Amino acid sequence: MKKYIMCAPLAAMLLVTTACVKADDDNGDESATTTSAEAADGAPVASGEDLSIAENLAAVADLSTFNDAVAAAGLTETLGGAGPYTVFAPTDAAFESVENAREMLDRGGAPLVNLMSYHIVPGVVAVEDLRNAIEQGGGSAEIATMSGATLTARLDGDDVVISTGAGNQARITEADKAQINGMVHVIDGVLQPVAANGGGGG
Amino acid sequence: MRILMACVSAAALAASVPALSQGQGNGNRGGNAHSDRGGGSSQADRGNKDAQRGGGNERRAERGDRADRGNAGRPDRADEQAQRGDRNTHRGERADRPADGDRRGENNRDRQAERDDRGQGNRHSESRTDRGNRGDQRAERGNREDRRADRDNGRDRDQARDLSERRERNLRVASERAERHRTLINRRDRRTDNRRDANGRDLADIDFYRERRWDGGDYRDRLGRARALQRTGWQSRFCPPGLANQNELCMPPGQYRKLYNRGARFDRRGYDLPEWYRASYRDRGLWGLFGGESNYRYANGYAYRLDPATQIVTALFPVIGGALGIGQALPTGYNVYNLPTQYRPLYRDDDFNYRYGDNAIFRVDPNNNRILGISQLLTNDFTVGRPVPSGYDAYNVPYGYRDAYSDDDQYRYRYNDGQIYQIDTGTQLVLAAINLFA
Repeated sequence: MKKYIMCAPLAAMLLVTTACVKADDDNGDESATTTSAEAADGAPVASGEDLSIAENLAAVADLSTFNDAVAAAGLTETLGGAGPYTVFAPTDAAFESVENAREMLDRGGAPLVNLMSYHIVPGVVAVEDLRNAIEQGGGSAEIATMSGATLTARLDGDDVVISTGAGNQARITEADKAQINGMVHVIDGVLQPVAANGGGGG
Repeated sequence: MRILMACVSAAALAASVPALSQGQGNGNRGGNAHSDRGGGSSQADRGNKDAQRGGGNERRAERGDRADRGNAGRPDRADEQAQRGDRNTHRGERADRPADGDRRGENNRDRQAERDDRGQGNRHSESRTDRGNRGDQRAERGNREDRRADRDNGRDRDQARDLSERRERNLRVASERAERHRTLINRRDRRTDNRRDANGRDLADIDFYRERRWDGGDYRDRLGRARALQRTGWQSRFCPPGLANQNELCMPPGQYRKLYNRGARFDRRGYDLPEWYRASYRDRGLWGLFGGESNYRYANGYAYRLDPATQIVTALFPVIGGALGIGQALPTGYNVYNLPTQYRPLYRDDDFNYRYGDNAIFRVDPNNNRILGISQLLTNDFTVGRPVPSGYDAYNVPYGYRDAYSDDDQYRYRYNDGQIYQIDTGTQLVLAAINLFA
């Protein structure tokens, strides 16, 4: 997390510089201008707006297990590509609480790809968007994942809690880490499509 | 010398032919007798022809004269023809043809006579003339064969020597190789060789199979090598191009994936589609009416759709991370550029190929068709004209497009697979798709 914070001023400076360069260019890219304006205003905070999701995951120490899992599943290129995706990234501590997580990571293959894609959502979903959807949905909102399954978002006090059909749930602990190709929310649990011990079978 | 002798013998044979003809008792009459039987002219012609076939022009001319002489008592036409034959001796066989042509009216008769001649007296003189000529040929052929035989004998001797040497050499090499193998096997089996490389791999194993690699390359060796390399952790480095680097062996992709083909009976009952994958391949039960028996199975990186009643495979889908995993060779049927339209401007075949399968876009090595990376995950959830799928309650349009596509009372906007979809808030139908990468 600290790296995110350390990255923020640097990224803002870079973006301001980019904006200056772009301003001189008559054919400047509209989206780039928008991004730089947002960064200059300081909202939303863009800890890694010049980096991809994959690059940021690799840079954050507390997300190393998730980053390893992404790499083992062969999804580093995916999260470093065009996207855009929203990623719910469990912390290392969250992985430690899962009994067969390490085994699953080591085994790799289709089950791991499925588990990882359960944490990836199409498009850019900010926490504010989730709150709005939960409100409009009467207390819950469904979110489609890249695995084909859906997650459910609810409010627990001020926190947004994400749960799976199998009953696993995780809380968003750090929200809206916008990246160049999407968004990262840090969560405190691993979202498993099945009950904790049912992930095998590959 | 042989040639000279052959020439002399041929000449002697040729010279003896008229004498032999006369020696049949009738001299010139023999010719007449022949003509009586079937037409002297035809015989004269035949004589000329034979002469032409067998020897030189001079000799033929000579024979023509003889034929002329032989036909002295014959009808004029026969003489004329014979004379023409003389005049035309230098023209070769064509000289006889005008003679034949002159008596076209008698053609049928003459042909009949020729046929008769073949069956009767002419046979003698003709066959002898032939024999003489054939003798020449045979003599020449004999000479050639002799020379060839001499050459062949020499060559055979050389070849036999080579073969013998090669055989001995092969035996020696095979024996040495077998000895080395025995040593290696003993060393490996007795575990007397405990050498390890820097990575802890068994050097005896590696030596053994490195040796076997060059041992004629029969199947068992390759199998053994693959297994050994797998044990020693060298499999991925040694799998030859074009062979799938599967869990157990380097196998041709087609062979590996034909374990269960369409129409085959899936005999691994009870090995259901894993729960983690059921979201993608939902059970429909029997004809979609009952939710009982699963009609999907998973094996070897493929999801198989089965007929619930017969367990026959009705469709198979390579699964991302399974048959569509990084490092795997693309299954058959993925040779064609097949990306969804909206992603085509983004991923074009160039340095790499890009292929779509199991809701993902794969980056592929164009040289060996192996998957190098997963460039994009897709869901394929939206279809224009159909209701908005579940799971899109939250607004998810990328930041750069939020000003242009924000929800209002009439429309909602949702992002999916490179497109922003416009949704009617009243009917919840998807009205339009806006491609972001166009």
